[in-house]
Amino acid sequence: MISTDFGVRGTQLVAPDDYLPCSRENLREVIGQFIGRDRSYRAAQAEAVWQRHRRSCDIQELINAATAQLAPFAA
Amino acid sequence: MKKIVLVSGNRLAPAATGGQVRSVGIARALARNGHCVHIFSTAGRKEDYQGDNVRRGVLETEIEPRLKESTHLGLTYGVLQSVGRRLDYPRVWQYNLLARGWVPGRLKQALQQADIVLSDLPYCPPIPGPWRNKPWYLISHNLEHKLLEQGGPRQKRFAGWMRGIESTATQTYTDIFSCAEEDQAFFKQHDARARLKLPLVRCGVDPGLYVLPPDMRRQMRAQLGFTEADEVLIFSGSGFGPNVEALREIEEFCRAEADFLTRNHVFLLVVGTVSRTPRREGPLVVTGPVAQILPYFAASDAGLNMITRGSGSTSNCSSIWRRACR
Repeated sequence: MISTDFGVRGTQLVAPDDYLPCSRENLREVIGQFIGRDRSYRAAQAEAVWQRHRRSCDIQELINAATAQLAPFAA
Repeated sequence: MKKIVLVSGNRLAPAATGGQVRSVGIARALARNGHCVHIFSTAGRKEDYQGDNVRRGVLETEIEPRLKESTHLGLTYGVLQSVGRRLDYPRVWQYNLLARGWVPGRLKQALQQADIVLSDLPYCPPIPGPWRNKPWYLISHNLEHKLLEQGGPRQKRFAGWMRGIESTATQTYTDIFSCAEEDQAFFKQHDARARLKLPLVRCGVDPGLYVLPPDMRRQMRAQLGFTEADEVLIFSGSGFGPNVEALREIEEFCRAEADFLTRNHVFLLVVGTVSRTPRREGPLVVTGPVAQILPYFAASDAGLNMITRGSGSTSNCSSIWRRACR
């Protein structure tokens, strides 16, 4: 993903490993950097990001962790 | 297994905005844990107010096992919603109706039967009645008063009011599902006795929904006029102000860098209600509202997010979604 730093607020993504940081001033350079990488490299990188962040992106995992702290949700 | 009622101001499914993706995702996750989840929405979408729906006064939707949504289509809520949107007023009217207990009879029945109640956004306050002592949780999607502070004059006018509501939410609710560190810290600051757990439920998605047929990428690219060699960057969003500003940035960029983008076969694909009008201008392709957004993710090579203001969290983590769409 290409994003402003603000655009990933609330996630645990960290630049530059998890996304390519951009601003209105450097968007052309960042796009150039992105298309300079071949697709297999990009696919491997996306897979690695997913593996690192799966737990904080899967709503089921998030809800399970949240409700485990809240007694009324216990069966 | 618990009976859970999720009170929402407008119809949540199928999700059309990031907030709705999160709310429906939460409801779905609870249902998959064995709970019976009933989303009760006090107003519908524009297209809901027609024919038999209006005569029946409600739209019932079975979303999946143990998860259903009832959308109330009464005219009071519908007209107030429509007028409020046109005048760009926040849903203060909705807050006042619910806080006074002026709610549909069907919602009262659902609350009577519920074990747990969830309020989607602070615009859905606890409703007075015999159900008020049941565990009642707030689903926070961001700090609403921060959004109002960044809005137009009519929005700004209510920022202080909403700040008051959010400041006292720690006493109003059994607990609060925060969406990010920002709102969690705010609620913690106002929880003087450290009574609440304030669990963090980020803007996650259901990865299972992002597994698409293998041919979808090729089909969508063909439909959109992209070749396999083209590089497609996608931006999706609702008509929310910061999204519209980001679209303007993208439009300006496409105009200024048209030669660079064309030379490198790069297209910027903008999807969703962030723009009402489909159009194509060189490297910029704008679809307008779409029935389903996932095929467009499948067609893209990366997400592009130019948002620079707002509050809370984002569900626009396209690169992660893309992984599942491959």
